[in-house]
Amino acid sequence: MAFFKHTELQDRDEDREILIRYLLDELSADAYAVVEDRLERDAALHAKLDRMRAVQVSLLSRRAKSFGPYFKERLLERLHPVVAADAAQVLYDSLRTVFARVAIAGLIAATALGALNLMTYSNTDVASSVPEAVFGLPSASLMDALDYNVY
Amino acid sequence: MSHAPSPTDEELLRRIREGDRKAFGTLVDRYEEVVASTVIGMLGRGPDAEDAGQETFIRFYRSIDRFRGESSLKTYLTRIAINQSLKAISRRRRWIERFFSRDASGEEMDLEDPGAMQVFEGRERDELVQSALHRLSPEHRAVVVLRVLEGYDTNETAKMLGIRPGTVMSRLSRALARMQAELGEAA
Repeated sequence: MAFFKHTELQDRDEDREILIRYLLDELSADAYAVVEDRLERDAALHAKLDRMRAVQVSLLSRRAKSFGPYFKERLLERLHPVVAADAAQVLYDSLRTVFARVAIAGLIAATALGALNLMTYSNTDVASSVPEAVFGLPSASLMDALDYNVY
Repeated sequence: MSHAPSPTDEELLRRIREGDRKAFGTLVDRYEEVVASTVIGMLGRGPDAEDAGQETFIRFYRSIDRFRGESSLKTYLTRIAINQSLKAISRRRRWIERFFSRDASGEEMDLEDPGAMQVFEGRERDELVQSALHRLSPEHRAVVVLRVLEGYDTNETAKMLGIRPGTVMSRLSRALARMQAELGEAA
């Protein structure tokens, strides 16, 4: 740090930053010792540090420690509908996922079954049309009914 | 009579993820001070601070599965708290701008100052230190709250605010100088 090679602290902003680092314990041991030495010799700088320290102490003494009594209870009360809404959303999402999978599986199974029916319908004399074959429906004409009776 | 050791943060997080609301209550007890200090430091005491504090914990609760422990729980909550505070300041600023951008005498109100709301509500002004802190811009105030009040080091503060460490130090320097000037001998 070139700053510590100077004999006087000249730049005011730089002074302030160095003093802040000193107060907040952010200086190396060497730099700390240099600042200590200068503080001993420079009363104005020391006064500046004291004023800065006073601000720091004032701030820390005013640090809030809580939101006041029953904060947790108020928070949990507000959280309740949030949790319920989240739970409902989770249930909805889960069911949607399950139903979507079941629907896809059902569609694939129906398509496969339809294709199988279609491939085999020419070998049977049960269905009389392509749609009936796809859905695996028996022929529903009056003659077919008579045929069933015969056999 | 022996006391059961208080659960670690990891244990609490595991229990909260399993739906244990009592564990969440314990976590609130443990970190209320951290969140209160950040939020009240940024907003001053009042309904806005309470709301931002509650919102901080609620957001944490809802995003708990995304918390992987890269930072400490304290840092994570502080980050949410500071974001909520900055949002509250923006809302407050918009509200004042919309309705009370100029007071009766035609002078501009200090829109950054939470005290402006208190004056409007006819309340007493906060104590000198709080007042001086709240006269800072939100950016400068956030640095003071995180670095001085919460004790995060310069790098952590920079990371939380998304700025360079050098900017943290220059903002802190300007903020303390301004506060010092405002507090004068009273400090």
